[in-house]
Parts: sequence; structure tokens; C-alpha cells
Amino acid sequence: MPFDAEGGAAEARLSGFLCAATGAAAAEIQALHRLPGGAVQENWRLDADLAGGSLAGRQSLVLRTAAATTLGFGLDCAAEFQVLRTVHSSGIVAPEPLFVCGDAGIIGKPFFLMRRLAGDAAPARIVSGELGGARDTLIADLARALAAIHALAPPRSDLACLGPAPQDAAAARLAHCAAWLARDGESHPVAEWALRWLARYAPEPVAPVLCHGDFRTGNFLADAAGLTGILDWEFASWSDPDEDLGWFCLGCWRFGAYAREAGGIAPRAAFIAAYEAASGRKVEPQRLRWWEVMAALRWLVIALRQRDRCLRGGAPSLDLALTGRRPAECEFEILKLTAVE
Amino acid sequence: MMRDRPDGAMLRTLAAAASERGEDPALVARARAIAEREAASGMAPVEAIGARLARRYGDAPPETLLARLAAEIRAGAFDVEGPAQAELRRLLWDITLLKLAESNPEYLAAAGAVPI
Repeated sequence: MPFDAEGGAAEARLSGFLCAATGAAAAEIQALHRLPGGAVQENWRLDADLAGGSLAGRQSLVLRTAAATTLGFGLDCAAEFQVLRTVHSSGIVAPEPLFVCGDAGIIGKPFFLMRRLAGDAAPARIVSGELGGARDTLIADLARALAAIHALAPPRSDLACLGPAPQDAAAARLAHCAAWLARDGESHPVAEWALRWLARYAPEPVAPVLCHGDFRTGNFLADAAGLTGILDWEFASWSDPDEDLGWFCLGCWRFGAYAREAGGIAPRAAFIAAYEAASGRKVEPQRLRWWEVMAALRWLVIALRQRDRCLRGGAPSLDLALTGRRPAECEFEILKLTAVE
Repeated sequence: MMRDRPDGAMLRTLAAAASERGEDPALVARARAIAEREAASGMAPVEAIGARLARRYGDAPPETLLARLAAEIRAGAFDVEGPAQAELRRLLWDITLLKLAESNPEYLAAAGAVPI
């Protein structure tokens, strides 16, 4: 945690960064504390009073930076900032990115700043209905947001940070998961079963689009009225749009509301219908099923990596350790989804 | 490993350290609950699955038996529908349900019946 270790020194350098970035004569930090969630990235609430410059007055910001140990895949800080800039300028509901800093001399590692939006991402509050407003409105707003993300297609110079789009996103994802599983050093028979099933039933490639990569309950903000922002863009990539749909519907992301298959919020059919209406694209159930199996396998791989960050990487986090016990949920979904009909 | 890592003993240790650091009490409670369920189950369910694997591959440590199963799946030995694949599915379900019952029984309860 960059600020706990150094206390005032890092805060003073951050104030200096704010002054340089905005042209303010002074930047007084009023609040700086870590926000909950974010196993891969750290998010810090940053309230600051700026004297003059382009952001004069009280600013409610979020500082986003990599955790002490990293996952080994996903976008770096600068690339995520660029994706956020593109999607925000495209009218997609997301935090406004303000400044990126690649200089590790400020807080010890690169970071970026964005405006803090109203709302909370806590899954329990969203699936219970405490936040998000009417469920049918929330699910329609999420479907529209996802369709807007998928409307961004390569080539785009402002998304050069994502690299070239794959010819076959499904094959690329499968190869990525197989490579990480081979590195794990332990045996995972259900994951092996998934790899074989996915290879047998691989879908035909489609034209790639921008995919969020982690579009699920827990990664968007909602207040009492509804959706306020899509968060956590570090897994964005050029991919098959059905990848985001499968990830959103995966049983692991329903947070106790298992019967509401769209993120624990609404029936799957309502989400898909709203997405089809917004995107103009028909969703094929068999393709969606394939990407849901892939979602379970990919989450399994990520869970193993999170476990390793704790057990091998020296991150003493109980949250990460407990994630090491979550592959069984993924295996449950794999076996259910690949059952003989 | 038949069970996922970290095992119950390590979770108990990590939970104690997390509690001292003032981390989320819900996470601490969850870790301790997994450790308790694992201790209550003991090794009997793991040994039962190991015995089923040993019938196919011969006597060997559970990790070795599991590695052989994984290798056979990877080689495509169960790609074709039939009795061998059906037996494999039952075995994979049993391993998964054992792990899930200890790691997250709430998930199992919410998800309901399984299509074995």
C-alpha cells in the first residue's frame, strides 16, 4: 500500500503531482484511504482542495494503481487509462479519467486519477435490490452499456494499446487458459475436461469488438436510482462480444441470487433481449453457452493465479487465499454447462 | 491435490493473522468455517475418491492418481460419449461436490440439483 508505508512523504509528492497536472498553486489532500474490493488493482479515495488551475476547488477523485503483486496478465496502468478515456469520450457510463502518471517516484508505482462517481459496487447491495433501482431498468441499462462498448471496433488509433485484434478470439482465449493451466503445477481434471470440450465445440470466429473482459456484478456502480458507472477496465481487449455476455451470466457472479441468471439481477432472457435490442445483434444460445464455459475456465485460471499471489507471491491477503478455494465453483459450472442433454 | 489450496490448516493460520491485522471479519469467519468443515470431513471422502481412481490406475498417492486422470482427459480418452465418459462425469462431479461442500456450501444450496 503506497501511502501506509511512507505516510506524509508520498502524500506531499501526490500534492505536487496534482499541482503540476492542473496548474493549481496548491493542492491540499483532505482524505486518502483505500476503497474496498479490487483484488488486482488498488483504488484509493482521494479528496483534495485545489487552489486555482484547471480543477479549482474541492475534487472527489479515485487513484487507481496496481496491487503489490500482480496477476501476470491484463492491461497496465497507462493502457487502462487510455481505454477509459476512449470509452468515456464515447458516451459510455464510466468514470472520467483525468491524469495518468508513469513516474514511480510519486507513490512508488504508476497510477492514474479519475473522478469519483456516486454509488456503490457491493454485489450484496445490488442483488438484494437495495441499490440499482428497478431491476428491469438496471438490467436494460447494463445491456445498453455493454452494447455501446461492443460498438467500438478495431482498428482504432486511440486503442492501439490493446494491440492487434485476434483473428479468432475463442482460439486465443483457449490457448491462453491452456498455457496458464500448464504452468500451475497441480492437476485440474475438470479444467482439462473444459479444455477438451471447448476445443470440440469452438464457435466460428466473428469480427472482434471492444470487450470489457470483466463485465459483471461487482464491477459497476449503482445508486438508489440505477447504474452510475462501469468500472475496472484492466481486462479490456479485442474479442468476441459473446465473451462479455457469457461472463456476466456465469453462475459465479450471481452472489447468492442463483436463479436470476443475469448477474443475480434479472432473468437471462431479459438481459439478452435488452442487449439484442440495443446492439441490433442476435445472440445465439450455443455460442453464449460456449463463452459461459470459457468464462468458468478463465475465472478458474484467475482464481489459481490469485491464490499464487498469496501463497507464492508474498501478498499476505486472506481474500486472495480464499479465492484459491473458489475453483470448485467454476468446476461446478463447467460440469453443469457441459452436461449431456 | 484433491482439495484446493490453501488447505484448512493454512486457512486457519492466515485467518488468525488477518484477524490481528483487523481485516474484514466476514473473510476471517469464512476461512475458519472452511477449516472446520474440512476437519469434520477428515480424509475419508478424499480416500474414497482415491480408491475409485486406484481401481483405474493402480495404487499411488492421490496427487499421482489425479495427475494420471488429468493426463488421460488431456489426451482425449473421454471425448466420445459412452460408458467411460459417463463414469468420468460422475467422478468429476463427486470430486467437485466434495470440494464445494467444504469451500462454499451456500453456493451448492443456491445452485440446487446437479445434472449428473
